[in-house]
Amino acid sequence: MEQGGYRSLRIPAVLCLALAAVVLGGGLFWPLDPLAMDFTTTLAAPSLAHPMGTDATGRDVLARFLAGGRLSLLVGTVVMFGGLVPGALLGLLAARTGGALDLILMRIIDGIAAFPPILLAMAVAIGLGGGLWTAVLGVAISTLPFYARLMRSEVLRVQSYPFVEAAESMGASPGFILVWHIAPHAGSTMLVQSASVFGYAIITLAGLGFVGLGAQIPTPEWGVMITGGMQYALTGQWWLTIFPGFGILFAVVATNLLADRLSDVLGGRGDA
Amino acid sequence: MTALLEIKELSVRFGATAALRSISFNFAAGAQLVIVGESGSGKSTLGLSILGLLPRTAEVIGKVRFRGAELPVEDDRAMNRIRGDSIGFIHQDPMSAFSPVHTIGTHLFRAFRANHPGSTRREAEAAAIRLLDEVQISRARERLDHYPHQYSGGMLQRVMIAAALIGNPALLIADEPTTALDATTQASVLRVLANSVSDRGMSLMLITHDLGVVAEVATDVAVMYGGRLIQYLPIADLPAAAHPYTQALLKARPSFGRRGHRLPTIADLLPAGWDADA
Amino acid sequence: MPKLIASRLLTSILALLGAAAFAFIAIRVAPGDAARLTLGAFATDEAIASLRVEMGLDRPLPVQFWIYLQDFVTGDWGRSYSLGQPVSQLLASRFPATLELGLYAFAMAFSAALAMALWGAHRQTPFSERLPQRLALFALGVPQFWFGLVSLMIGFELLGLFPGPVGRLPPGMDAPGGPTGLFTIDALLVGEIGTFAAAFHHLILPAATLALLPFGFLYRLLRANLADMSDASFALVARAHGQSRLRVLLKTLLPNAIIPTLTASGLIFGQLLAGSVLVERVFNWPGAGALVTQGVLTQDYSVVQTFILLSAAVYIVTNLLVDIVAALIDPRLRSGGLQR
Repeated sequence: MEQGGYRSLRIPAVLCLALAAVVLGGGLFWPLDPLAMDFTTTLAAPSLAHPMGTDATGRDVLARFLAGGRLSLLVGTVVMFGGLVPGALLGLLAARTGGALDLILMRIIDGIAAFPPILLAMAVAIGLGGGLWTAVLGVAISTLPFYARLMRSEVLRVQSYPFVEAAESMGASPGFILVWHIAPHAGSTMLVQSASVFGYAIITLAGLGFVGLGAQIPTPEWGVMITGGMQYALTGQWWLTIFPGFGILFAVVATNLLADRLSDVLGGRGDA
Repeated sequence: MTALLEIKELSVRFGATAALRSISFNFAAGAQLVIVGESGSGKSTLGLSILGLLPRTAEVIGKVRFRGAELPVEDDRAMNRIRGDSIGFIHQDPMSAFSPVHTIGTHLFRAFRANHPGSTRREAEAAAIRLLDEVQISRARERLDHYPHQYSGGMLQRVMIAAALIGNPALLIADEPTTALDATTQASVLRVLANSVSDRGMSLMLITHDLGVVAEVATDVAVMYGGRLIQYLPIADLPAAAHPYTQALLKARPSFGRRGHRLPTIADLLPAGWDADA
Repeated sequence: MPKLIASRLLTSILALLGAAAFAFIAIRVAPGDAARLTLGAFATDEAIASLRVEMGLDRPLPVQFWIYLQDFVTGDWGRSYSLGQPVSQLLASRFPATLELGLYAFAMAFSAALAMALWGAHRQTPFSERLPQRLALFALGVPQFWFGLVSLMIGFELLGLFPGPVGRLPPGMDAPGGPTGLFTIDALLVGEIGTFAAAFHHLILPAATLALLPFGFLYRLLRANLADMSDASFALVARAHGQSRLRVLLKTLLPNAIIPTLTASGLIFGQLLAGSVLVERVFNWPGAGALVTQGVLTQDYSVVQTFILLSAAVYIVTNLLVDIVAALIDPRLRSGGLQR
């Protein structure tokens, strides 16, 4: 069983490694500047010189694709941990203190969770003046309910185990219980579940880029690239939209699949 | 007597685990067989394999014949007619055996209609009320509209008996019908079951780990251990002819007569790691 | 049960207050100037100064929050400076288009998810399990706006099977004059079959695009519910009574699996509202979502702010209603709490 379980990780792991290798290593083999315009070759179809074609200002789409991938990986990682740390602390605080503070914290979390995530990120990005990093902050904030609720339920679950109750009744300090009982159990679940945030961050940031709230125009970001290519999508210049879209699709599916399989195998308990 | 049920070298495996190992016995019409054994001895698997309701992961070898015909019948529809119509089934856990969002009446009507295609709702209702009366559920008509959570465990188990009887089967398989109930309820449910079975001249296969049940209903006793049938004999021969394991099982039964004694434990008869081999 | 409803009502109000506080803090208290956010980058300093007074931005924060709440609850949502109309009027005039799109998307998502989950549960072959799972993985992983574009590139430009991004009806065709504002329904009400066909034709691609996320979500939910229950004893017992596998699946398991999905309604409404913001832009769909995108692009944020807070309110109110409905239809809750 165990063996079979871990085997199911093979495909998503290979996909994720391939993604990282192409996006991170690609820049070494494809040295073109993603921002360099060349008005002699605008809107050129894919060819040997430009395997993914060029855009309306003659920029190489492959170079922009690779740079966009690097940005997506960065954003995915930043949101994953940027939401995990404060979210987990909130959940931990709520679960360990209980009572009125728990109630207040969880109602605030309820309030945040009421917004569809991308609209919440939009509100934050607008309030802080737009741009890539305010959008990233917005996306990270929109993951707080997920992390905080998960952490809270994990801590409450671990606390109710007989061996933890036994340790408490024998006088173990809260710090001891936190370090030796809660951290190992809840920590692994939180890490496994955070994998699903990675893909969510990429797709949401691309959506914000599409409405003009994420990365701004010259930045090679997949969502922005699709927006830029939109006006050419129905006039035959398909490469401007197709490639970055496949980039997002591949990155999100690969990381979601890894997250799903990880939580199947390691028994992380997402409460959706 | 003709054999109602013949089981020949029946083996069931779940992956690497053998649940039944080459079981063979014949079961005469009108017999009341009690199958005893500890948990994990394969008793429940036996009942489900007769009905052809084992999970898909199960690997079944060997033969089950019911009235001379091999089970499970290839044709799904014919097999569905045998279930409920010829062989009734009572599940061990009444609390989870009823769909929580359907009324008791709905459960009974569906069981009735599965065995009486083309019947009307009025007929189904009449049959349901008659059977609820038989299993001593009072105010039956009113209680048809109640939901499972409004019934007690003992009442649900009696409803399950009624549902199993609704097709008037020749053989009733009761899988630990009283295990989930408390002691006083157990006795009344068992009495209801025994009465209905004897009134109809039905055959009964009662699966239990409670030897107290044996004396109440059995004409025959089968003892299972580790997926094997250790012994199959008429009840009259039980005290004398018992296999050492059967005797140990009889001794391990608590009784009011001997307080203050430790119950003897049963030594493991099987070599270590038996369930890992083929 | 009144107690249950009262406590749910209270938590809903608290969540609404929390959501409003969040929106207030994000947009009002954050470093950006709320008056400038509302009036846009090209407003004069005098106009901004007078709006600051009108919005109460010179007053203490709690007072501002109170005014903000009052305005929101009474439907006083401000004006769009670029369109020159009150936000409430704008949203109301655009809402039917979004509603119609959302209804079709939901119908598609739910029926596809149901069909896939039932097919997998009934056939139980590797293919019938894997195909829906992969479709769901795709639906949850594909950027909706990109899928919309690709569906246009293939369905419109390449194959010519579907209309291009021209909105709800072909250019030149008049809206059917019906009472609902939903073109397919209005067209049927006034008996214009041609208009109905055109409106339906224009709905297919955008609705399918918007349906992706709820489809993936609902499929996974239904499948998990069915899988949890296919081992349930009541399924086994029903089979032992002689009911066929399909009958047990449809009559016994399905009702048990569908009731819990009701509780996801709020989430699905949220997905549809948020999705409409991206999808309507792709298809030039004249709905509220497109108004939001347009607001962001022209930095005219009054519509955007209202839409965002409204979406949270819709989520909370839906969840409240669902809880009440669930209490009414779930026999265990209806008859006065769990007895066991």
